[in-house]
Amino acid sequence: MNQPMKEKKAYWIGGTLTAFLGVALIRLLSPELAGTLGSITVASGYALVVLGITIIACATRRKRSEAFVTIEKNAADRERR
Amino acid sequence: MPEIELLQIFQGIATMVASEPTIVAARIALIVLGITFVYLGVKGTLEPLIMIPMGFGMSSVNAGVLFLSANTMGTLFIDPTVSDPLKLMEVLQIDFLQPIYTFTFSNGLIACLIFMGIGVISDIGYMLISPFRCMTIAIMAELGTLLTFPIAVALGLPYNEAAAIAMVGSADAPMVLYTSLLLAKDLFVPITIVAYLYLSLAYAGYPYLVRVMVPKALRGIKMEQKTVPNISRAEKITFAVITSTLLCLLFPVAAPLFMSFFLGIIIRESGVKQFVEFIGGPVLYGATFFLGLLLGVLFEAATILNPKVILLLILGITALLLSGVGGIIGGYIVYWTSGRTFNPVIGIAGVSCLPTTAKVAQKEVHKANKFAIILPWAMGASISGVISSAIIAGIYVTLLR
Repeated sequence: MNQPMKEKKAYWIGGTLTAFLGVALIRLLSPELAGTLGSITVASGYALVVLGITIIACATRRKRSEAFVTIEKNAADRERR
Repeated sequence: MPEIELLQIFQGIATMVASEPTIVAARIALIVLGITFVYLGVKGTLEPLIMIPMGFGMSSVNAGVLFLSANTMGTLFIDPTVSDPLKLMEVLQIDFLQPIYTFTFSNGLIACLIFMGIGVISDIGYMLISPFRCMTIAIMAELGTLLTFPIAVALGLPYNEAAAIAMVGSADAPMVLYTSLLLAKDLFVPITIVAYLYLSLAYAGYPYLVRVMVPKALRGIKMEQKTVPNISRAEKITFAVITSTLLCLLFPVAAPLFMSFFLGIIIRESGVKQFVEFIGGPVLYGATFFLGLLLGVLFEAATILNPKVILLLILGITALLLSGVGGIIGGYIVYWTSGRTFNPVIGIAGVSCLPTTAKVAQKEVHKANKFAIILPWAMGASISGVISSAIIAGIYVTLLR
């Protein structure tokens, strides 16, 4: 695990667990439940999957101070030359 | 010396004489159309990678019809209708393209190989630099895929065929092929040809849509490059593994597509040069070549005489147009929510014709402001578009198969 991933470990683990919990609700629990309860479980499952992926996506966001500036830097270098 | 009939020597012409006038007209039209595709492909007006083999296959198959017996006509290219195992074994030894069709087309392998290649040429880091923006654009760019379905049903197509043609809106031809093979096997040839034809035209048509929907001042917005973060290989691989597993669990029927795409991404990020070169080169281009050639060869006169083809042509263009409009609306949503710093042209890249729409977006932006670089964001939106299209394909196939 590299430095940025270590720092945002909670997002990666939390997001993954949330999403897999959603899958478990959809694939394992909802077939056992009938009617409205089953539909609510499926809907909640999908919502949890989306939430999980959203949390994981948050892990790849950076603060402005951590920004990577290659493109701008290269352009500046070219201008200087 | 026995009497020789000229038409017996030139059986391609003899079969024309013996056929119904509609079939003859359709064959001649398809030969001309095929040659036109080759010409436009060579000229660069249409996508040469697909149009040259497809056009050539189309003209050859419609010219090369012969008498297989006293009463039956056919070709020595391919027989897509055969399903009996014994007959199939026989045809495999006669029709020269039958092995490729049987072992790569009908099981979706060719679509998966192309998807693997697309994965290898896609840098998922572009998507991860701004995942929420990319997903907003990608979801909006599925407008055609979602709205064409009820339109097609209203026009009289059954649900499975309506979903298959609606997938043209995803602008992802291997995905259209995969979905139509699963949902509407009888129509997969015209649907996939419509998809490839329109995708080639999208390259020429989308710039006009961008110019109509986005004023020049907004097209020239310069994106701030300083905020492009560095996404590590470990992050990309972890994201790909988790997302692929999740999507396979949710939509097992589209698991081959997800697996292929994300495997391509993981191979790219793993840095195994030999695999990257193999999948991004011979596999991707070999599969693209045979996909084009086989689609052309499958486009026989009987296909064009199917009355549904006109409807498919109309619905296909509707789907692509709606998706383009939806993508740009997505671009505007991000433009407004980002404090008017985001270039709305990037929205068109959400239509997941990777990397064509991203290149269209960059080209149009460059015309408005030669210092503006939007390609990283456009690639991110395109990759999100591929994933969202695969999800919608999974939903359609799960619900309607």
